[in-house]
Amino acid sequence: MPAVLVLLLDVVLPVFLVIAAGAAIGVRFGLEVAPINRVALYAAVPALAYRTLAELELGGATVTRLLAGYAGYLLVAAALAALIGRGWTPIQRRALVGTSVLPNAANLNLPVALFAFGAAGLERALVLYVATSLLMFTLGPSLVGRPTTLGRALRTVLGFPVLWAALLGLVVNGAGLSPPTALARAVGLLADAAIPLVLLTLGVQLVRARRWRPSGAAWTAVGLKLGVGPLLAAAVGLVAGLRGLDLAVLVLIGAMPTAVNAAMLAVEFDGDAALVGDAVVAGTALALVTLPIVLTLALRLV
Amino acid sequence: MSTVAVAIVPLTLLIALGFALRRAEFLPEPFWPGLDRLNYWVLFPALIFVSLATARGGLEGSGRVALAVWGGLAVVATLALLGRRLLAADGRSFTSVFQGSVRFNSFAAFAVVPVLFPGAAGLTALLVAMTVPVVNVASVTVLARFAGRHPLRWSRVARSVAGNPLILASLAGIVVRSVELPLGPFEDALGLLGQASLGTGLLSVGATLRFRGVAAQLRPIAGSSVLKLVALPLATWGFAVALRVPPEQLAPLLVFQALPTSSAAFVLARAMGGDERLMASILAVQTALALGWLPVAFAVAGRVVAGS
Repeated sequence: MPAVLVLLLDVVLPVFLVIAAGAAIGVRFGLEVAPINRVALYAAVPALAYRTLAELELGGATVTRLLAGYAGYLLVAAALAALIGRGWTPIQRRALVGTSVLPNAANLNLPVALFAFGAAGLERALVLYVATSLLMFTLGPSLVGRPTTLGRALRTVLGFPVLWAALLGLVVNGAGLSPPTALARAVGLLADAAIPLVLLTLGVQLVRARRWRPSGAAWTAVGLKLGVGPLLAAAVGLVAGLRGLDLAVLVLIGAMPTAVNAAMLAVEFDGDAALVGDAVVAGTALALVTLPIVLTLALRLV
Repeated sequence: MSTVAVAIVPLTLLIALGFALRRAEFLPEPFWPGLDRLNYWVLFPALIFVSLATARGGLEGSGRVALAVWGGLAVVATLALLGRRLLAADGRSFTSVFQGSVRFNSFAAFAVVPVLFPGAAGLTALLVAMTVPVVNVASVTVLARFAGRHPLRWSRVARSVAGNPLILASLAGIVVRSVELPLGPFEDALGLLGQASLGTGLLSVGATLRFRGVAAQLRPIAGSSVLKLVALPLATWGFAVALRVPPEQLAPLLVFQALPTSSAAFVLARAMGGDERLMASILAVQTALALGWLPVAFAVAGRVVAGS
């Protein structure tokens, strides 16, 4: 069987099947997404971030290199989007930049990284996820919405428990502490729920998306994210000195569609919600096709 | 840290967290029934299905295990029926005593039994599969007979079995395992869904607990707790010894039978006109008791097996 099909079946399809289950549940049981999202954001995902970072075996140099490569990629992607969006309205242009630099780092990237690259890939993907979360909840509102104050941005990020859980995990890791096994298992039970819950949430959110007829601007955003994103990530990663699994994980996040949270921020902060929402829905659907292709190439880097 | 602590402390912490979240109203009230539905229809059936479909070994001689489980349940159900007037003030209360005596918490089963007995995940799923249909039929029948709101209709009993997602998932898992059907991408997808079940399920168990009104109903609560936590494992042990259930299955079986009653009992009591307040009290007390009782059951099971 061609490698791309194997990756589709073994890595990408399981993830999309859970998203489809979420969509079916959303229709069948009329589940509200906000409370499930709240359990995921305030309990399960922080537990996963804590567990991964507390047990992280990556050296400081690897983490620094990875983050530097990611920051470089985001800057280049933002600059390119701003260039392409010249002549668009300011709100549309910001939306294009936002959709380019706010990838779906959690509910799609984490499971795909785990299935494709194993625990070592998940560790690296989680480092990028924490960085993306910081970006999402500091600059995110200004990127996909209207500009916000620094104070409001700071309050948002400080109220986000995954940051504190990640810091705690890093402290535990750095100090060489080993919490009692029973406590670690309780955290583990919650952490195990994180990826399925965020995938189900994504499914429910997608099926609830309002009318769906993406504009030309939305298709531009999707093309930029899914088509150009992985190429930019590979180029910037190579320049930043990333190789092997580090580079593959950066390429993978470059190939991720725009995060669902970006659409939520666009609504919350009066941005171009239609453009961002359409880019999220179309990008996530198309990723079923593009991700196996990118993974086929990315796995050759490992 | 001992194996027992590794099994029981996480269970306690997550149940306590669920209890605290509900009391603090951290999540809007409609969330909990929504989470229960998600768990009942999707997450937990996925766990049961994957555990059974991918079980490797440990399921041999399951016929003897089934007879021991059902034998123990039959003895306890009979004792409850015989002691009905002693245990409960009226028919509605009795239905809660009965459910509290025979039902078990399947989330606690998966959180505890495979940790205490590594490699017993498949056996745990099988025990759940064997027990769920029997206790469902028994509970629906007793509620219809004694709660008085709904006359006993066999169509309802049949529906409670045929439409139960845990039973359907169990059957599907057993069939897939028997014919060795490859699951392909569904194995990972269902595995992902199943792994969300225990954490969220235990939070839900905690959220269901209500201790108000316990003091006023000590007799039915004590009666159901003795029947469930003590009489059921003892009766099952008797059958298991007579049927020569092998030691590696006997110990998990005894701990399984010492689990507290299920949150689903509360839902069924409410749906069929049972005494839901008493059911909530029984559920709360048994869950709290079991956190101390399960280590004892584990130690006793170990000695029983060592001596057999």
